[in-house]
Amino acid sequence: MTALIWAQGRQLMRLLQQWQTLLLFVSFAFIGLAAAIWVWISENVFLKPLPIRQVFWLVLAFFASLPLFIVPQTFVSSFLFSPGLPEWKLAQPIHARTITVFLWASGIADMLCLSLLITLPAIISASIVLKGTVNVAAIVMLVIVTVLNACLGAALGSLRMTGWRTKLALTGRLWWTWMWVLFIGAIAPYLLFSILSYAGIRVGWEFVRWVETPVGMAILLPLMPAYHAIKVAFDGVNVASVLLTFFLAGFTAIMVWQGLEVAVPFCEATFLWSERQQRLTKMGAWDALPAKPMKSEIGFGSGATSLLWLYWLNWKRNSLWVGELTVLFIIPFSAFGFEKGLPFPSLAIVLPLLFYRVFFPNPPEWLKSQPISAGKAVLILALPSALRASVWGLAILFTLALLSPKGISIANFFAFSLAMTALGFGIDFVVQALRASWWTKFQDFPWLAFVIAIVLGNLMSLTLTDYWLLGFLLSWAACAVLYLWAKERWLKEP
Amino acid sequence: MLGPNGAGKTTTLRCIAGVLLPDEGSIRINGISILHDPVTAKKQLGYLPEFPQPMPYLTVWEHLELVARIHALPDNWRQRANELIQWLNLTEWRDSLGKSLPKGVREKTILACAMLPEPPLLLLDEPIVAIDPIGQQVVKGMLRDWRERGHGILISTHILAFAEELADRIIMLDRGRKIAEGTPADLREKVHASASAPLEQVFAKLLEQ
Repeated sequence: MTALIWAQGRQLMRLLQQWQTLLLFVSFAFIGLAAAIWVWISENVFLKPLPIRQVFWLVLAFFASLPLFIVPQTFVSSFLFSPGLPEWKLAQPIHARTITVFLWASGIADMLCLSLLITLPAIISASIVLKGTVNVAAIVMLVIVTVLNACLGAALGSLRMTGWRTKLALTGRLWWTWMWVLFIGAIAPYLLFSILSYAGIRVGWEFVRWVETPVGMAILLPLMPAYHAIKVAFDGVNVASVLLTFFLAGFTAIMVWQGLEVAVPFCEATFLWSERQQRLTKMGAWDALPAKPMKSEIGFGSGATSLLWLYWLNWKRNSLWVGELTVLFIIPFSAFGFEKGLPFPSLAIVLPLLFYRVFFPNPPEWLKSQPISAGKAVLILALPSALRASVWGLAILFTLALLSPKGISIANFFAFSLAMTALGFGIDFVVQALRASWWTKFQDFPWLAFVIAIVLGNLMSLTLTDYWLLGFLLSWAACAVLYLWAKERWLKEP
Repeated sequence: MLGPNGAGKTTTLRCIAGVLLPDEGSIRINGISILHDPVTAKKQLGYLPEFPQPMPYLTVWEHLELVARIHALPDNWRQRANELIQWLNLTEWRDSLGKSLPKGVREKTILACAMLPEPPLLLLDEPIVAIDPIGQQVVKGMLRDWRERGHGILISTHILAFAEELADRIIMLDRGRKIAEGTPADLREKVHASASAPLEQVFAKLLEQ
């Protein structure tokens, strides 16, 4: 066990020396910092009414309960491309329970960083602004609840991966399903609130007081320990927060015990991650399921354009069409932000575009050896991103045209929609180029400057009425540089 | 192409296949430079990399269709694709997604993709390592047939018996440089080994030299 910890520690130290890891941590801290800055800027005006504070606490409680949504054991592997449990490690003469604890510990540490980096800055700054009772006791309570949530997440993840096969696993399953229902249920009020706000209907927040009634607490029980731990930073320790923390500790202990009961199949499931979906059936069953045969489709395109068919099949079969629903969030959110004077539209679109592109597999060597010119391949693979950005850009423009009393000039309208196309292309070129080098070269960092240039160009084309041409040209110039870079990478990297 | 680990076999194949730019020198396939006219040059070759990765959300058949479309093959490609699927024993995997294929089947799928346009040159990096013994016999038979029809094959391998069985000429690489080239008999002569000496012995002596 100590040897494993030593090896993991050595790996961790080397990971921390890489700029990608640092960037990841900085980005988490930035989310928390952004919330903190927002709280400072809004002073106590926005958060002063109790119902709004309650919404704020609820949102933060979701963040503090993140380990319950994401399986902690796979968090590192999904973000940093390192395998959770290689086969050779599993073959070492170490007890399965020890390996399980070790895997949990690494996962919990990561999830804890994520939760705390996002929630702590916002909570502390909000508490100071509102002259709350933030002190050591409050911070300790928040950390304890976050740690317990991370432990519970690890145990529930193990039980889920092994098919909820223990006697008490049913309770864990209920808890996990409950959390997901709450999470999905939170989307509906958000959409409703957005629609009503745009329609000019003022919505009062008084109904949120219901959260702290006995019925509300019972319905939102899985969120309540985190909610009350956050509330302690504002209102001080109360009986409810202590009782809920004890309840969470007891429940976590039972689930951890249950999780250790299935240590052996959990270790197996962890290293068989790719085949897990096929192997896991109903509770207790561990038989291999035959892969579901597909219906081969008739393709389209010829030469380089047939890559579009490849993209289409990946989009359809990888269920990426579900992600298009992000538009429902991004467009109202960014347009609303822009109306309030915040430069959101282009920035809000960068992240979903990045996620979309990352889900498309990197062209393998055999595909690169096909007779397609590098320039055409890079361009055609980026077309869907450009199209997506254009459509989103147009939707933002129409939303703004409806919302803004001043309206948008024709020149700004065209400049922004074309600059959004450049943004789509540019982000795609960045991902193509960086994936070819596996995000390892620090000297590639200038890409960030060009992305910033595109985003600035977008903003200029929308906000500076007289400089729309400059904004448009800036976006496309930066996009051209990124294209040349992606093409060079296609040629130079296998 | 033989050589110890890290000799540069895979890098050489990647450069010839046009997926990696060489630092210096030139590569011509049927007289066409892969550096100056990569698209025409790539039409002359089929490439099976060391770790063949099919596209996760394409079926085996769709991989073949994609290659046929990229090469703009005439309509009879389907007949040829069906033959390849039968020969390589891929019939039961025809409509399975790339992500669900076992290692050996992945290799056979990408091999079928490489052979579909019937290019004059095949580049194969460790082509039989993951394939079962019966599959290995099939692949060897196909490669012999390919050779007899006048096509070229460049194979990188560690399996010396495989090299001896199929190769007309052997190139030995070590630390990025060619250290010997010739027929198996030439190489034996070079190290003063008897005609019946196993290739392993020749390989070891050449490396010592």
